[in-house]
Amino acid sequence: MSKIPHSEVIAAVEKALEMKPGLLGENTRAEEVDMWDSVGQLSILVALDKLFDGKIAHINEMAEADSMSKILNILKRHALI
Amino acid sequence: MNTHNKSRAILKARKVVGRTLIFRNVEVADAAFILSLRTNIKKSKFLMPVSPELDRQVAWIEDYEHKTDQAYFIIETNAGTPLGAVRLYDAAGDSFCWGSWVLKDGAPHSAAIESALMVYSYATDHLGFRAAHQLNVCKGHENMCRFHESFGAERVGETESFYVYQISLEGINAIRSKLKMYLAENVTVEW
Repeated sequence: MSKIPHSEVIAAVEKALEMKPGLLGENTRAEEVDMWDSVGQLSILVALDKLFDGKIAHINEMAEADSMSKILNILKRHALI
Repeated sequence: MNTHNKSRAILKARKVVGRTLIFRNVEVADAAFILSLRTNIKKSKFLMPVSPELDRQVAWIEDYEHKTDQAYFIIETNAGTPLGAVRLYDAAGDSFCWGSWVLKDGAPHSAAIESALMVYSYATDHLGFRAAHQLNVCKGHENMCRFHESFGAERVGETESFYVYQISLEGINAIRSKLKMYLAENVTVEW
């Protein structure tokens, strides 16, 4: 089964945060993005839940993932990307 | 001995234990902390106004201690650091309201999500409720509107000052299944 590319994960997070495409980088942190507050975090997780078909729900580290690099590293560790 | 079978009354647990947070029933000693939250310039914009006098807050809590129709909790970390407050009230059949929800500046993002999940777990798993109604959000508080909507609540009406949301048990369970990283199991309760 082909893995989802980083670009698609970033695009999903951008959409969740209502950002223009291309503004979010692999190293962007929550504190750098106005919309990435608790509501933004919630929107991100709902979007990723859909993208990964429910597979992230039990990944505890996602609760504290407050940057794109953390999100991507967690997904890599769990062989989702 | 647990004498509190599931019922549709809002019971005051001594503690509700989540993953990283604990809800602790409010006491008079919490008055200053609650007042600091509710009179915070930024946060009070979307809360019902309160008197800035500590005595009045103490009197409110003393009165609350005799009430049997609501539960008001301090939201704390597992280590006992207070982060905020939340209240469950207005039981109507198998539905309840919750609000008076405020977290202090600097509280982690996860606290908002986990505390909302804890409210729903406490209400549905332990008190037997099947829906939440009249989740009133001040017009202008777009962030809170988005939060409830992201949780699966539906806007069902509005007044001059508020948008009104409600959420069904199905909606509650759906969001809980997506957010197990914040609260994998039901909350545990100490009565």
